[in-house]
Amino acid sequence: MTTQALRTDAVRRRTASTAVRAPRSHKLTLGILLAPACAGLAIFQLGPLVYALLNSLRQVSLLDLTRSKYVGLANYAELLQDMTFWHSMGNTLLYVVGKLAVQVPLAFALAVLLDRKLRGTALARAALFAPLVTSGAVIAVIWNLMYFPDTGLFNAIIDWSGLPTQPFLTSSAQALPAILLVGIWEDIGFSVLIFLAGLQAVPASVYEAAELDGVRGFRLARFVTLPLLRRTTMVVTFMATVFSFRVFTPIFVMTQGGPDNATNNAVYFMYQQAFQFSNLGYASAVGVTVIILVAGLLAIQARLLRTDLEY
Amino acid sequence: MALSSAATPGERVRRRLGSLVLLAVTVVFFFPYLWMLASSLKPTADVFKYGFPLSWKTFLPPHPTLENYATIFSEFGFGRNLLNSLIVVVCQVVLTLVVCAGAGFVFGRFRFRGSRVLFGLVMVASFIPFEVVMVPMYVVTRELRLTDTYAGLFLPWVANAIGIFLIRQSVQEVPRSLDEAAAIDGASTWRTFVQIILPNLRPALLTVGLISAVAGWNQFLWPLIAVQDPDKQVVQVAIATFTDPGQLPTWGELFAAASVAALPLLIIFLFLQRYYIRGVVTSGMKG
Amino acid sequence: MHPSHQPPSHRPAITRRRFLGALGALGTAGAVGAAATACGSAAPVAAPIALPDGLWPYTGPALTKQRITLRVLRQQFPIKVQDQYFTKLFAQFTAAYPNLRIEDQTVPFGELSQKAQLAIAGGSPPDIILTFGDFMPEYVANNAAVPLDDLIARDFIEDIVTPTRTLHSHDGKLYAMPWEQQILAHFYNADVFAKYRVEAPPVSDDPADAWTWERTRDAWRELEEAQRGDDRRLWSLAPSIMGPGGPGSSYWFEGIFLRSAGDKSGTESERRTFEAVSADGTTARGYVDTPEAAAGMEYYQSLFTDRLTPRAGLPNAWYDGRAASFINADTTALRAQQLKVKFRWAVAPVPTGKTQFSHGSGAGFFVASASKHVPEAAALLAFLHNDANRMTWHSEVRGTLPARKSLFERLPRYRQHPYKLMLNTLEKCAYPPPATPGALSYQYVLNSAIKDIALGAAPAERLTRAATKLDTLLARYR
Repeated sequence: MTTQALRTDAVRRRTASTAVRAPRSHKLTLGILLAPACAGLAIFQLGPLVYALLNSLRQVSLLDLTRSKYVGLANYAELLQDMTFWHSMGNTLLYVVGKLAVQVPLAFALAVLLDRKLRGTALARAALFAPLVTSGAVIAVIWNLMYFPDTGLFNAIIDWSGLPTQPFLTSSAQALPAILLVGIWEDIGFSVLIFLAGLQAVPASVYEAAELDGVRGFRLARFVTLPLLRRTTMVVTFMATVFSFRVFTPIFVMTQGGPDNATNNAVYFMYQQAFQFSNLGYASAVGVTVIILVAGLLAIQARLLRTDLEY
Repeated sequence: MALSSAATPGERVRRRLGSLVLLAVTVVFFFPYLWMLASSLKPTADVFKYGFPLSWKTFLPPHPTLENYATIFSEFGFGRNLLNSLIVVVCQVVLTLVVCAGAGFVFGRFRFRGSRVLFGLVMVASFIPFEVVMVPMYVVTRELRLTDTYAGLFLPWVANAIGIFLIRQSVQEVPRSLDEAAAIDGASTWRTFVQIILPNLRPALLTVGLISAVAGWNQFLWPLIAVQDPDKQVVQVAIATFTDPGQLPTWGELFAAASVAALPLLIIFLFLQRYYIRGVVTSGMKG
Repeated sequence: MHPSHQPPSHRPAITRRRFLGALGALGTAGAVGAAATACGSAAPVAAPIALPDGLWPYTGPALTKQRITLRVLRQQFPIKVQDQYFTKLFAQFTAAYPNLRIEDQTVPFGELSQKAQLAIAGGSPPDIILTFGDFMPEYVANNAAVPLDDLIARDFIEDIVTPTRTLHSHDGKLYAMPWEQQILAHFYNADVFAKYRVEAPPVSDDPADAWTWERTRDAWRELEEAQRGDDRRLWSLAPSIMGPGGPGSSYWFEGIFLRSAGDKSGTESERRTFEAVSADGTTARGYVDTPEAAAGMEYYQSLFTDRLTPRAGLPNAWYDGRAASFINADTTALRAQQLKVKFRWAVAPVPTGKTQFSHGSGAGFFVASASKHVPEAAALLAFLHNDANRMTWHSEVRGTLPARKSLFERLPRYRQHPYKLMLNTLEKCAYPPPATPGALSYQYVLNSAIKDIALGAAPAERLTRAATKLDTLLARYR
């Protein structure tokens, strides 16, 4: 302990002196390492975001950008009163919360199970990851056909087992859960993957100690493994949140936001404004608002998970 | 493993149960694929014929044919689209790793004036929905004369905010004592990064590479917009040309193309995941 | 067209190093290939070969002698010969004008509108863009298209069939060339009607012989009841296969349930129902939410509640023999022949409401206002649309209705059933879709209302909501 502290102290002094001797090369290295990322983000993400921000203060038609008109905060004022927007925002939150609530615990459980190296692990792993490598549009097309009311594949199975067939995507009550199921099926492999990587880092000695204390099964996972994976859980949650907020393709392909706006989410709403109503200014205002709301939500999430994620 | 060899009867039952759960997972997740694969082997006219009521014909093609596969390659030039996607994905993954590793290292290790603000901006970029910035992004790409080039398809995604975030997380988990030891030996920042930090980032790099590969391979809207030249078009856009319901979609060919398009990544994935899962992380490294 | 490459094959035992090496090599090969293509485009200019029919109906200034590239954006046609038709004509055109290069870009129909909008927004759209005629008024209102009157012969313009000419014109000027024309007819599986002993709709070339919508529904109900207890049940009416498929996918088709409930020479409310939007195209309230329109939607809803038609898009349902009737575009006849469907089929006129109604519109090419080569673009369009080329397209390649009157006279099949019925429908009961500068918004808003109603929303209330929403969207154009 003391030697360790002494050594660190020595290093600190040493680094301090090298920093004085060669600050230029150090700074140059950092600059070179950082520059491509900053340039890329500035050119392709943040620059366009600023442009969207400016557009959100104007009335712009997608087809004729030259004929735009400065309207100040009018788009935002309209947005605040647009019930469809708030409805779509509500759907987005419902989707995100529902997805996190199912996907994160399930992914953790599956990762723990896969980590046991049971028989059938390899195949199950491949099955879980297959949706990741399949195009989102194709997945949506296939699920759409399986969800078909009355005579789709799911209803064929339901009917075969003697139960009443279900409307799925054509009912405002079932559509969002149906879309949610597709989302979980599609993304969970990714969460499992990150958890698996995290599990690798848990030293075997921890499990051995737990074994000696007679802790196993659920209690082992809950009280030993999970606390050790807090950072991993945070990454999984963060990524699932970001991806869920952006969900677009299944809605675009399967329901077009319907029936009766039941599956209309913020991103789809924005897409509609820009590309169906060619209302680019309003669409940009929606986009900016969504980004602000997401940032706020992520900050709360980080606070709740009490992690050291810094903004 | 010492633990599993000491299997009690109760333990054995539990392992059986576990395997059963895994079997169920396998079935649930492969199920749509089975159907897709079976459909790709049916003539287009048969694809939806046997959907309801349920029969063996729903899943197994009564008149199997490889015609759909032959058509997509001979008539629709799907091979060219596959090659284009492969080129784009390889470039995208390599550059993403280089760019994100550097930035992730800097953000994970150093404080400088404005570093918090800069990282905050990275976080903002990570949740910009593509649809918000699609129009300006197209304008920028066109101004840089990158439309209709492979570079136009991968460059916009190379500075991957989520990638930077993941690598930064991972850098923070590498014990500082390692850098400090290197510093004692007089290593430069550059050498510390390449020789000390990078080798410890392998799981994170694999994850980021995978995200980037999957995103690159599956991108649809962007190539649809940014590419005019049919000879440069990528797989997902090519697949969409089979799904035009108003034009009597060629469903058999759609499913054949989708099956083929899923294959390369699945193979790479199955190949990498063994490497991934098999403890690349040196044990006891966790801080 | 596309040089064919085999997918990279993976040897069974690959080491990681070899694998990554191979990937790297592929990447390099691709980059080198790309560079080679980029350099190889400067081909020597050959001596021009004159076009057989010259440039008629082009009447604009002489074409440039400079080397330029004309870019074309169009939908990908479903059958390969249809795409090759363009390749062939473009080759012929560039042989006559070797200094003009043509870059032909195709996208799936569903993606066409979005791609065109983004290209226009981006500032350098293709010179020539194909669009569904319904959306033409929006492109015109946003100054995205060039008027063609000074560039195209007057008699050519006057030859265009009325609904399409109305749709493609604004203030008396033509903005798009009429590529083809589409109208609706009632296609049905004659075997099914015979098997269940249900009286089938009248096969006739006269639209006036059509059944009413109610009479047609009675037959569909009979079919439905006759099949009770059958294991493999048929739908009476196939769902729409346009757009994403199913209810709410196509105003072009489903809008007729609103508009055929109106009457252009009836009461004020009936007239407005028929017109579907105010004369200036910016007011929807009082036009799409009339009692007549709501009644039309109630009828449409009953087709779903009575389980006569499925609530989602079922691909190929009619061609596969899983639906008895199909109210669809005229191209269905040719497609059924091409697919060699396994049942006897017949064609009846589209059923009639207070008005017998079919939307008459079709695709059209316009010259983008951002184009730097307007005369050359118009000349190319003129060439594509000349009589000889149009005749080949309509008689051999695609089989859609022409959009010019004189062409009908030269195509013998329009003197026979069922094509004679299509022509008569076009002449007697085809009307342009509502002309509004917010055409895209109009169709999207109504499509989602129609979908909601099909799935159970209250028609009158839902239409009022749609009309209110539309009025706020259309306000920009007032």
